[in-house]
Amino acid sequence: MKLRMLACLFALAAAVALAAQERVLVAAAANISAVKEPLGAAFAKQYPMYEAEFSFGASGALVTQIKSGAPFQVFMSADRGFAQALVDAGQTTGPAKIYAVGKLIFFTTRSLDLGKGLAVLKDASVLQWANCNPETAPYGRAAKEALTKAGLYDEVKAKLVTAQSVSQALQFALTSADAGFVNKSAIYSKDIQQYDKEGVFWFEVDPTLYAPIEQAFVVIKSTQASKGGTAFAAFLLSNEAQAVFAAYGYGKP
Amino acid sequence: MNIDPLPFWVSLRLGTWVTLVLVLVCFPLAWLFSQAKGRWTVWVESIASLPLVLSPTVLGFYLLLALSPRAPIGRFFESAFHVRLAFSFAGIVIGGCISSLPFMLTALKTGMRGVPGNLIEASYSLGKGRLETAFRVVVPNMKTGLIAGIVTTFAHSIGEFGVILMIGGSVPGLTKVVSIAVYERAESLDFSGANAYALILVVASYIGIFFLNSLQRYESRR
Repeated sequence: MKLRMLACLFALAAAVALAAQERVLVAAAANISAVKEPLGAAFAKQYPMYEAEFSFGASGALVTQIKSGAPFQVFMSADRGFAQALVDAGQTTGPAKIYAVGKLIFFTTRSLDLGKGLAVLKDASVLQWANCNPETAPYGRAAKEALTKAGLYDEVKAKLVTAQSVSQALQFALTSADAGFVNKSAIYSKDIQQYDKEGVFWFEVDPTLYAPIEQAFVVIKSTQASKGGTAFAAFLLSNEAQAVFAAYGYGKP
Repeated sequence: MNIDPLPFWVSLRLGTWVTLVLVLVCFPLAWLFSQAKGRWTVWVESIASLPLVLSPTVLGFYLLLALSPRAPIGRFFESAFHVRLAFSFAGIVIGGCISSLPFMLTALKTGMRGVPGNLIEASYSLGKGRLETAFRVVVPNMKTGLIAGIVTTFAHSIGEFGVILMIGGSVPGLTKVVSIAVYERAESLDFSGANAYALILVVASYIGIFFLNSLQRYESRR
């Protein structure tokens, strides 16, 4: 009985201690899920009074949610356009700022001849390839653009399966699809470490084939006064956050 | 705003296939459950009702793994029939069948329970076998249950979303159903497009339910 009381007290104390930390709700493009942990840890170290909580989705989908009143304080887009859409709608406290430049990779778990480059998608052994919805996901838009510029898109689009976010594209490529276009930061994840060999399981898509994926963030105007969003914004441009992005293969803003 | 009719076509085909397969699968199952008295039936019936309470994402997740060419089932279909189940029409029919199974099964079981026991006894005592009794006595006397099963299963598979989101891959003409089209339009802020698809879905569902309710009223008045 005493033990149980103690346990209850302890849980209560823990809850109070946790509640003392203010949560910063961050709506982040799916590619950010790859850096969620190091980014959250670096933020907690720099601003111990705050705790970042991420929600992931395709950038376009998150814009829809925020426009409909979802209670996020910061929006980390996978491009500049979706962040700008919120600025134009007057829902931000300031302009969109670029925090990283995303890189697109071609990813497979099969033994494909990656020496052929993107044209490998024409192979008969590729029955399906995954890309995320170009309408809502900037990485999907980049992949479509690259394939179109390379003159391949029309030839391979019959084998396309569309994912709702770049992480679902990775999920498809890991399960059933023969290949997929994903964010480079994904291969740094521990879960897919067995596929991290460049040239065997992935290659960087030639960056001249697509417009740079300039990932921008905005701080969302909210009814409650909160400094958490501003703190997280300052953190994203700090050396510590930039070091995390660099370590996960993102380019400098 | 342009409305592509293709997703409607896919949904209709999906609904038809799922309903057809489930009538064939659930009929013997419902018959078995209504006849069997052993304690094991509760166990099996509970499994059959699981899709009713499970989140479609749970079903979708396991299907994604099972249909993958890496998994035994997916590999078997790929090597034996050269068919890839993941992200294919066959794949979403399988998903739809699992998630709609309880609807058909419950309706058929209820229908069978409504068939007077003495009719069945009479058929047996006149020397008719189980199969003949099932088809010539039970089926004609459970029309409402059968129609209820068909309408709810069809309507449910037309509205199928979670499972297809996870295993469909939104392939136009194959796995991009209306509910996915609504979702994609809404996500890309094309609210008028989403509204057009959604409205048609609402009207069609209403007509289905209206038909079902009218039929039940008509039957109960008889």
